[in-house]
Amino acid sequence: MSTEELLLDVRALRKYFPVRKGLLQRTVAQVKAVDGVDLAVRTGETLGLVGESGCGKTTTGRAILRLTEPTSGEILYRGRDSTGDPDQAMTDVVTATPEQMKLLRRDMQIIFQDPYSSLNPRMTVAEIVAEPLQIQGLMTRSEREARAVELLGAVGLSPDHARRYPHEFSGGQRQRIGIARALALRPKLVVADEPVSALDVSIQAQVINLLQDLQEQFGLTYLFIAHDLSVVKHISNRVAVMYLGKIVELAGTRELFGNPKHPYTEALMSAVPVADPDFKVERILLEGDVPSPVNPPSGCHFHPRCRYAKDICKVEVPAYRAVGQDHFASCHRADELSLYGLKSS
Amino acid sequence: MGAAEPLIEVKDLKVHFHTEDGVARAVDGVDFAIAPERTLGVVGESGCGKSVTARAVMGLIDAPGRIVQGEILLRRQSQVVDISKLDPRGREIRGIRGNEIAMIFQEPMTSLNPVFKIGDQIVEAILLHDRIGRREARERAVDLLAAVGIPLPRQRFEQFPHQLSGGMRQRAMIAMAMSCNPRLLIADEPTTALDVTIQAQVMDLMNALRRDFNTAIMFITHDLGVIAGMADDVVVMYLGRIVESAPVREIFHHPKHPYTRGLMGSIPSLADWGARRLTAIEGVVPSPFAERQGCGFAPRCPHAMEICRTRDPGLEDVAPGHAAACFLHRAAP
Repeated sequence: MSTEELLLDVRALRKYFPVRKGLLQRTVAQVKAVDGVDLAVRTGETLGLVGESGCGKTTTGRAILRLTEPTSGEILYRGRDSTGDPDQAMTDVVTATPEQMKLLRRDMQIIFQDPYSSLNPRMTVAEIVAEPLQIQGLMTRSEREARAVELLGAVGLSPDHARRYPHEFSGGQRQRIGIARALALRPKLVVADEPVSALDVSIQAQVINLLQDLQEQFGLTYLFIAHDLSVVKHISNRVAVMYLGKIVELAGTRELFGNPKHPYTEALMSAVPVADPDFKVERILLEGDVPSPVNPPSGCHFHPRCRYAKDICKVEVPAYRAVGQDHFASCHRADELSLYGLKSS
Repeated sequence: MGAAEPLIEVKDLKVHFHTEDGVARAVDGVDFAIAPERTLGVVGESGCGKSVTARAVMGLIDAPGRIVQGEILLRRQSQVVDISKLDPRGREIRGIRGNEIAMIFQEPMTSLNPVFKIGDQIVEAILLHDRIGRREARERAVDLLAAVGIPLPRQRFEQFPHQLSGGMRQRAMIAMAMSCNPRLLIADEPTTALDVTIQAQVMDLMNALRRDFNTAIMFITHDLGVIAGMADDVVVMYLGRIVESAPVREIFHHPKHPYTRGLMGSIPSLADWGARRLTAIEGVVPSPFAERQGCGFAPRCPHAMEICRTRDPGLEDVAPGHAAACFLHRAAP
């Protein structure tokens, strides 16, 4: 793969949250929410980032946009030069100055999970959608309003919604408003953080279809963060699986689901209930809960719940390495295990 | 739904909420029955009335809600009790609730008392319904914690709810619900707040308990995948009514109602490989305050006909054991 295809290249990203205790609020421990994540996002693709609660997927997304300051690591983003061609050198988001950051925000936007708390109830829909333009000092007031109406049309809302307030809308419609706001600056990269998990089933489908249409229409690149494997499989070109602050496996969607190389991916897939009473999978029941990221297990973080664990897994951290064509996993036994994947029909 | 005498039979149940904004018809004429040892899956989106139906069966409808019509018949050995006619705070319903019918909720934290130890809460539930000594109740509570797969049950007994993970709390809730060996367990979205690997554990546990305790289950969820894995029979609810009911295989392989079909088309499935576009159901669920005219689904239905907007289709058989409320499946409308 030539590096020009990369829109975003995240290297060794870490985000630790201090645990403070006592009168002096001394730091007694670190929650290693994101603990060395490498992730490359290609221009125009949808990269799914999947994992259970507490695995660090949301923190990863927020750290990439510097909505939360990374503890360490690099987040290289390929901007555009004045002629609109991709820049040769990539900009490190982590060390960007406030001025650079403001420009970068035109390119990188986010859609939040909760359509209720992410919209200001005192602003009209038009104001919400046009706010990014206002902050960036783009366009005149009336141009911004016209742009807001145009964006509402693009996400399937009508122009007369523009003067209303968020409380007048259902969850699905609010999520459309959030999407319109994310698109206001014509970004290249959109981090979608659980964009449909707060919505009812029938509304989820509307929003997923909308996201796919908008991607085609505006040439967007998505980092799609979700816990729902079925949704991630449906929308993603490639999928990364996260566990306790680390990426444990990454591959093209078909490859990952058909030929998983990490035991956690296998277990996660087998746990998903499938809407077909005759669809038989071998259920691999994982014992116990996800361990605490304050004090993760030694060696491979997954070993206490892994049914294939050997002695080496308890002591040595497995390297995140290529295990196939465009397929990466961190498992000592990736080459010898034959794991259960979904059969493609 | 099986030849056995139903354990519980709900007939033409209507639960309305009288609010300042008008009357919300949360449950608007619902009929179903659950036979002993069967699991009935109740599917629907938010606001369809599935939780209110469950609360009505538990005798837990509070003002401004009111059961305005219908019967909820609980069959006992010698008599039949109509739960809908009992005083929600009376002695009789309290003898049924927790004892014959138990319930588990989506968020265990809201149903466990945070200031009491897990074990003591289970002991209290046992002592409320059984005349046994505290020591014996304690032993039974520890056994129950072990039965629901909680490791180190004696230690967990002494812990407070906040010291348990979400999955463990849900197990403790299930232990409490099973403490009096209920004949009917109502589970309202019991796995929705859990991660998939933990959800799989809890579903497995509930299936095992069903075998061991011979309990009938009313399983409420919005997740068709969970329904496929848990239910024997399924009812699909929309706007306070049942729009389709059938055994689980029948409903997944031969769905009849356009809403059921729409739901199935809207979920991406791990079993699909093609880049199929999801068939979303257009529009939104109408307000429950609105006066119903004709079929409640007609405004969103891709097949709506003239008759659908004026006449109520009612739930009628389309095949043995399979009913749908839709004019598309009538010989001559």
